[in-house]
Amino acid sequence: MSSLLWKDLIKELLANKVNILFIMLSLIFSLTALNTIYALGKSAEKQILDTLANLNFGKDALLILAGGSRVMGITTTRSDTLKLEDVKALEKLHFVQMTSPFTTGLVEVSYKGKAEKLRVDGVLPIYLQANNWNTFMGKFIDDKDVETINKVVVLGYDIAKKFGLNSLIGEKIKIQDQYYVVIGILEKKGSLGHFPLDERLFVPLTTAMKRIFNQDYIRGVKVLLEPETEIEAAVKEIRKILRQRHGLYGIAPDDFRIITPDMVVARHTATSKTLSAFLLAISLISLVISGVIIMNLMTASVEEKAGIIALRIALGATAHHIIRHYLFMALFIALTSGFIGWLMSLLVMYLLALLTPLRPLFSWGTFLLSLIFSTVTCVLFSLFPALKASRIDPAILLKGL
Amino acid sequence: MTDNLLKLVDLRKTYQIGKIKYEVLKGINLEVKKGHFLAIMGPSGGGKSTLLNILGLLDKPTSGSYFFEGKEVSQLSPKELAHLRNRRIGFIFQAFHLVPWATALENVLLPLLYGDKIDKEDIGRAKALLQRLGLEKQITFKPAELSGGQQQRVAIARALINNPTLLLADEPTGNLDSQSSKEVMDILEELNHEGLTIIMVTHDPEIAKRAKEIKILKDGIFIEES
Repeated sequence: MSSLLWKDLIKELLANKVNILFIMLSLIFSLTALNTIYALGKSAEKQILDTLANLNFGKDALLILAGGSRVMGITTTRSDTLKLEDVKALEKLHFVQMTSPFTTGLVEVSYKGKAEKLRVDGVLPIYLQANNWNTFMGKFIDDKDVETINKVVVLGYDIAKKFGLNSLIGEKIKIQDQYYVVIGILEKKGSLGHFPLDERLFVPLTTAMKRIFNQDYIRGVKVLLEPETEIEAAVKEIRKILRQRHGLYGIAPDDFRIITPDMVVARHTATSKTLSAFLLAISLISLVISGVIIMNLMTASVEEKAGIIALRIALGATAHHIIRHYLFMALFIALTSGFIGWLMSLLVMYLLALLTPLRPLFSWGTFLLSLIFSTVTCVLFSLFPALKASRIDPAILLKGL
Repeated sequence: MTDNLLKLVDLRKTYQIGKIKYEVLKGINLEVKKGHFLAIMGPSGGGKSTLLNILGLLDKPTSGSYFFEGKEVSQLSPKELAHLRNRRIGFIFQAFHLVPWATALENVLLPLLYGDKIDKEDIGRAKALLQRLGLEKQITFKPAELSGGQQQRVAIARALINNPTLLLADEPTGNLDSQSSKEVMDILEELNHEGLTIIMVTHDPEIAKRAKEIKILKDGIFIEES
């Protein structure tokens, strides 16, 4: 391509500014939508991953929950079989770095005469480390609290905020019918999907089991694996041990579930994935519509410029030259609109981040996406007008018969 | 035979519109030697433009033969025909047919887009042509900024950029006033003196007189002048 050829076709494009404006606008709008939606989908996924990593559930971690697979939310097996002894057995595995058993339930909590059903977790001191968490104020549960089945409580940040943040340490909170001393407040963690991590109270595991829930079993255990552990092999091993310990053989179903980070990501992104796939489909359709608009406007432009195309043919242009002329024109439009569409989507993403809780993710991927989609659309839908142009009869240059 | 630039043998052209056939050219025989200047006259509908289209390789005859520089052109591929149009034939038209958004210089360079690579020399040659035709001050002008006579001179420069052997002119003075017409005809005469073969279609007997030979095309055949 010589510079003269480019000059020739860019000048031709600019000769009809309204036409090129419409072509570009239609492309730019659909590309802006496409890019923004793609970036939003990507960021939803990243947000979940970030939260999980923040909870020390990024990699090399497993969550074992009591109770087998569920049918419509109801466990079909016993769910009171996971014991602290099971946790002790798992700790002996060479690939297990750390275990953090817990139990949990919704119980009535009252403070200053106001009562509310809140989630109370019974945990061990190792819980903070296992979840990559820190206290915001005061201290966390220690080994002595666990040993003595102490009536102390640590508050999640949002609960503490609700109760009045500053003067809480040393205050007494009523859980069910007993009073607990507030010894600490955890720092803010945010939420995992729709699950609010900071709206919980933490008590020693022994206290929860004996005083609050009156259970000899736990609801789950978080297992941190040594780095570089083969997750699948670890899951297999743990399953074997637990089945053995729970006396499950043959076709008896598991009475526990082993959750990997992948499963959590998959679950939390499933809905947003469906939604973004749907939106993506819509913006692709809009891209096809812009394609049709391009085809329409290009065809009109070819008809309008039939004389000049005939002249080009008379001066020695082959069909190949004419088709190339129009496809390069399409390519020029595509790259320009693709770039503008990308810039526009950055602006839209910036505004979205400013005005809504959405956090679109910047990536060069959307830049490439933008250029590729606009090029494919533009070139594909310009084929027909380009072919039409190449078939113009140059004899029209001379006046009639 | 060797100094024949082109030769038509019993050339016929029939158009079919629906079921009706129009025989526009009914057996044309013509020999044009190198360096000739032929004017074709005749009434409207006599087949002048059709003949010019065929001579310029823009249309194909229904039957008969057309030898251009000794080659039977019906044997040539579209690509070879395009190459001949680009290199051997120059066109000028009644309506000039300049590209409106391009400057005079860019219009002159247009045929080069469909040839080999363009270099500095080509641009120099284009400028020299425009200068020779008295347009050195209008090199960057768009067609709309030029008079009719100037536009036709740009078109002549464009036709000459690839040093053709044949110049086809379709009513070259049809849209011009008498002063500009005279100037354009002076240029064509001068080019013919330098060896360029010219075939010109015109209505105007005064213009036709500037050619070396006049032929009358009527009802699809050449008739003897009465």
